[in-house]
Amino acid sequence: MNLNTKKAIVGKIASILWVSGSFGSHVSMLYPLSVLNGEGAKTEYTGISFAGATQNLDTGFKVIHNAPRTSSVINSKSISKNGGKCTYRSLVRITENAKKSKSTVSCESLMLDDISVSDTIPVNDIRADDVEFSHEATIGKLSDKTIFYLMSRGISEEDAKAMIVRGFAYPISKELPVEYAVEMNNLINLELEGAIG
Amino acid sequence: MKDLVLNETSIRTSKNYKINNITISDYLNPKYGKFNNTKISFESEKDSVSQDVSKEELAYGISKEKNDEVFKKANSNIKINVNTKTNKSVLIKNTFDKDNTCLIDNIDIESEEGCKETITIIYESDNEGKYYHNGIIRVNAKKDSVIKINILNLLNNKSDNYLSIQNVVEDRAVVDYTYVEFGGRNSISNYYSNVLGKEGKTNIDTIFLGSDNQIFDANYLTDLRGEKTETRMNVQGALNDKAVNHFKGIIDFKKGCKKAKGNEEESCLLLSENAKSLAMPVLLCSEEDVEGSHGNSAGKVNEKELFYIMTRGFNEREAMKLLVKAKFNKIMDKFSNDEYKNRIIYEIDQRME
Repeated sequence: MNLNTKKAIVGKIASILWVSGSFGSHVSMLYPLSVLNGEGAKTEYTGISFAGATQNLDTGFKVIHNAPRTSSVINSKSISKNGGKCTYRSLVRITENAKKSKSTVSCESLMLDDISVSDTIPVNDIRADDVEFSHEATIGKLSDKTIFYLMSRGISEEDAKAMIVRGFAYPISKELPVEYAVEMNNLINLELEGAIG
Repeated sequence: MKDLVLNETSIRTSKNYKINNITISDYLNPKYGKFNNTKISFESEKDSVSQDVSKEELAYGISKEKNDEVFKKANSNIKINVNTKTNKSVLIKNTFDKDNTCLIDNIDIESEEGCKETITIIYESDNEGKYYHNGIIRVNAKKDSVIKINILNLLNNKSDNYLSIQNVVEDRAVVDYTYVEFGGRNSISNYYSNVLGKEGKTNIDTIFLGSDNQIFDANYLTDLRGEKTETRMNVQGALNDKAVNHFKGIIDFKKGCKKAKGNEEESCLLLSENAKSLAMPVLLCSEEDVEGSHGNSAGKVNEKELFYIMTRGFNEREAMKLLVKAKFNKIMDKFSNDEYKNRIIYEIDQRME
């Protein structure tokens, strides 16, 4: 079990960047929180979850904009296979104090077989008018057209699918220090062995 | 007087997000009585209406108490049997006044295979009284049928409006809603669509316009069960003064709904600093081969667009009205009857004064 509480209070013109990779534990609940209390504060969250057999990874991010001109960017990806369950939960709260704040949320979920589960449960609480807020999410499987394109270049189906999954995770792995990015790619390769097809 | 907890979501979140349900404080039961101001008109002679409506429990609904109120105290029971294969229209117009203050309606729509119909239901009132509406609309769309339902809530801002909708959609049937939600001090709506059949489709396009202390609470849930089924939820709105909107939209791709598509979009224009928007667009997926997406946005009017329109000679209020109408335009275009479109435009002008 991995039950995690992480909070950050961000002051004036300060910024905090969260990078999260959830691969392990049978059950994981992880929702980092940033409270943007100072004018001009920023937070960014980039996270990836990979749920395999018997895993239930319930992750997400919470941000509270409580000062003017604050901004947040949330980018989350999840992959589920072999019966794994990925759940993305988030909260974006823009209070009355947070005039001229901005927030964007992007959530993508990839399902590698039809026995896995992927849920997206965001809550967006906007209490100020002079803000810019947007949220988007998609759920789907590996694109047949993309697989066909790679296979037409001589790559086997299994390698093509693995390449697409690595490409899906690339925006997160590039944020990490090199040694952690290599470790994450190795973990993805290990998770993918025998997972596709 | 008591507190009434309504519109529970099937997905629970933290209590302090205050979106799991809505509480109506100091609730008083309305004065029940007859409602004699409902006009029904048919375009097709093949269609028929009766009062033999279902009292089967809804799968969801606003709350058990509100559903039971309809089953026990309905003063308007309408069952429409759709038997025509060419698209005809039915109009149900309910007008509230000092002699008709409380409407509790139970509407069943049963369509035969391959039949088509457009049903328009209007709830309107004067600006004087405080009125009450609680209704259930139940649609059973058989194979290959196409049912379009337009609902116009044009009550005044002192009234209360509660509406529960339930649809069962069979193979290749289409159920399409256009919901104009302008009226009601509290306007609470619950929509559930069970898309059982292969290639079944269900859509709901909603526009809302809030002012004063209006509260809109919408809880939409679509279960996609059949293969190649589709659903769309498109909610566009604008809030002024201290109006509040709660939107909970859940698309659930159930196991077995291969190649299903679901799209959910909610966008709210905040026209005053006290307006609030709370949204929870949810995607649940237990099937791999699907396409699901949702989007949610909130913010104020684009200042550049406002400035551009004002340079053309419009004052700020008129420019705002134009931008709100532009936002609603795509959904308003679904009305083939210009009379309804013009009525909606008139209501926007009045409510934004």
